[in-house]
Amino acid sequence: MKKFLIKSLFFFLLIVVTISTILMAFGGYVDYFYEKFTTPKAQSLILGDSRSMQGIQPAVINDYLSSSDYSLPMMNYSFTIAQIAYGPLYSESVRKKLDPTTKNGLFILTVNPWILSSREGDNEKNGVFFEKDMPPHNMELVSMNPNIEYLIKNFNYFHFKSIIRRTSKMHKDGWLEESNLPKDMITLNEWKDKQVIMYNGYASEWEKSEFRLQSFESLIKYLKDFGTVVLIRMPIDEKIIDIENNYWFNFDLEINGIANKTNTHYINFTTVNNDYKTYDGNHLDKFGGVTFTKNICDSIIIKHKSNNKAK
Amino acid sequence: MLFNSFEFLLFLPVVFLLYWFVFNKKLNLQNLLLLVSSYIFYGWWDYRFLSLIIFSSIIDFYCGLSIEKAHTKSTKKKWLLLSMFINLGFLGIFKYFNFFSQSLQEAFQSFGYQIDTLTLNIILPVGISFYTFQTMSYTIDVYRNKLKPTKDIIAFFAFVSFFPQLVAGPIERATNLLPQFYKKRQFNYANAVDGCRQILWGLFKKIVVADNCALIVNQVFDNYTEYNASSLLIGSVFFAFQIYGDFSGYSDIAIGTSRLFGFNLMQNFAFPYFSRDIAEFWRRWHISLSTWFRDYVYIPLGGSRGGLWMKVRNTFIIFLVSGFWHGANWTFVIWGALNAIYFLPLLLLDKNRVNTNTVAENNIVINFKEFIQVGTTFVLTLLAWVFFRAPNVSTAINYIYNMFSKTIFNFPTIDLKPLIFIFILVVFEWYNRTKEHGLEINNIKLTIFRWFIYLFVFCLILIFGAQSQSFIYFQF
Repeated sequence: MKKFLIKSLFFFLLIVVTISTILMAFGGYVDYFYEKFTTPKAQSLILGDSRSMQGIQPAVINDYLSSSDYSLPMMNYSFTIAQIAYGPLYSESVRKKLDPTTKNGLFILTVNPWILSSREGDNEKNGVFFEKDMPPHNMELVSMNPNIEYLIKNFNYFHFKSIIRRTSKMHKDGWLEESNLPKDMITLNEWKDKQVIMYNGYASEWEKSEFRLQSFESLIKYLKDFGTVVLIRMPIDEKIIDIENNYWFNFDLEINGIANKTNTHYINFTTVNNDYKTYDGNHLDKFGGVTFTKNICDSIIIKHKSNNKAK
Repeated sequence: MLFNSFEFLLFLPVVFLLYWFVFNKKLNLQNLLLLVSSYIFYGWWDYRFLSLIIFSSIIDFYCGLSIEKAHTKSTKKKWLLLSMFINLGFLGIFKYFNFFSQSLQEAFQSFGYQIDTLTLNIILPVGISFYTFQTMSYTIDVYRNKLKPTKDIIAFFAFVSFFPQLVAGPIERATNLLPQFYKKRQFNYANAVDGCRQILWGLFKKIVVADNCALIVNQVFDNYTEYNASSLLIGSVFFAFQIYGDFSGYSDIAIGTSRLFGFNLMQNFAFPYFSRDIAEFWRRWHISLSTWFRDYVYIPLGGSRGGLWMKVRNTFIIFLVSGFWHGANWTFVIWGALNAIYFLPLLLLDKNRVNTNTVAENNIVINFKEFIQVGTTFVLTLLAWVFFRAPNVSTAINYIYNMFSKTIFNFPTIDLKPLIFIFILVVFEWYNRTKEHGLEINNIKLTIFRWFIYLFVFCLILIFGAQSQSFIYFQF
């Protein structure tokens, strides 16, 4: 028995070493979220779903706003619509990730109707949320490297075969770089159609959530104590905008209302000239993302200046 | 709880350590630990259905004792019938009620009558067909005086619910498994190590081969009209390996896990795709079920002792019942019938026991004749598998029809990557075809090479393991 246990332990260690080596060398490829939980607590955050996870690049912001007085570097703490909606659980995770000593942080909160909706199975008033058992909500430790808790709780999210294809890379700053882009217009349109079908499905099954709106407002108020909060609606394809506007016709009005109430800025990029390139109608590609992130920075600078003038 | 889940990865070592280090002093305590662990294992899926297993265990425990106590043959028979009535009753209600109800309705409709039949909104308890057959083997063997009924209720309950094989077999005979609960188990190093190898191999077959094939198979069978014939053919090959990897993988994990606890379960798959005829295939595929039907259905019906008509009838009965055991759908019945048709010529020509040895015995390479035989047998099973996989009979027929079109010579339009995993599976299993499982490599003397192979298989699982899917046979 002793020999068996020793050999089993040795094999177990061999496995741990193999997995750790893969994670250290290719961690960004094997999981979309793992790296987000291995970095230190952050002073500035980008929040939202996969639109912001892929479309807003912290490195660009760090570079563009390097001379500003914001507490950088920026961390992209966005996930995907499958795990994320604003609510008490996401707010709690943001609290864990936020450095409590932050004084002048920058918080970019991206919004869209889906991220403020309730879904089948939600019973928000009784504390039942679809996202409960998914990352980041099931994580106690959000700044540990290597993050064993993530490995245990979310092993199903790992896709080790990606170390061969290496098409999606999660950077340490939380930005997901997608390199698998459509090679022609036919593919692009096919991917767009898939997104349209998906969002039509959401529109027929999900509902606007007052509870999540209130929770979102509370999160803004909380973050304002640590710095500047900016609300962003990201540019997407017109077909998807139409679905969103039909689903929640006065969405912008309501978000504007929250922005006014909390004394924050709401910048809606769906109504400006949409020159940003998406690779599927829903996500900005990594090149369009650079321009877009710079434009966000410009908008923030302008708002900042106008605020200072007003003072 | 799934074998390919993180929960099981924690569950197994904890039970193992408790079993050998905390509860090892008394046999009863060890059995009790196995019983509790088995209930936790099953209850993890749905604790409500534990009541079925417990009820079935109580009935059969009591019926076994009553059969022994009864003085007359007719009283013994009554107790046996009670046990079978209850066990088959559960199976009938949970698995077949809706099928019979809907079939009756459709039959009346075909004659122009509209009738309303009752259908039940019930879910199928995982593994019900497996533990029902296992526990029935106990009362039948007690009735036949092949086994003394047990008075050890813990041992009996642990036998019925033994977690490694509870939900998908092998369907153990009481005569083999139950006595192992009476004897003090000794830890055997060689057995435990080979058990671990078998678990690793089972995981490879399930997670890498079966789950990767499943992704393509689902795509092809759901949209079979959109694919060319060669894609449909490859799709059916993938399904053949999906079901083999899925089911034999589960059996390997179950047998390997049992060996860690000092139990020996029967071999359930003996490299069936290396069979040279259908009779050999059925001696190598799902052995525990085939032999169950042979011992408890075929032989009591007269087996092959009677005349020609009797042989044909019994062969058809056993294959149809086997098909029906797999599920309440006409596709399974046709799958069984097809296999009976394949089997019949061999039986009638008295050639069903020609290939009782291993293919290419004492050789590394297969000869041409055997290659053709193995290939033909595989193609025959492919056609039958289409019925097994298709959602209904018409889909299966159309699928096969489309498979035999001119586009068979076009290049397949589906992802062919699973062929690499199938190739690895076939190479390993061919090398070890005379052994119990595909990773029985204890004859490799060089330790570092053995460990390299373990790590290689582990890395295949880690890197190429597809999205976790439930085991197909859970539904049966």
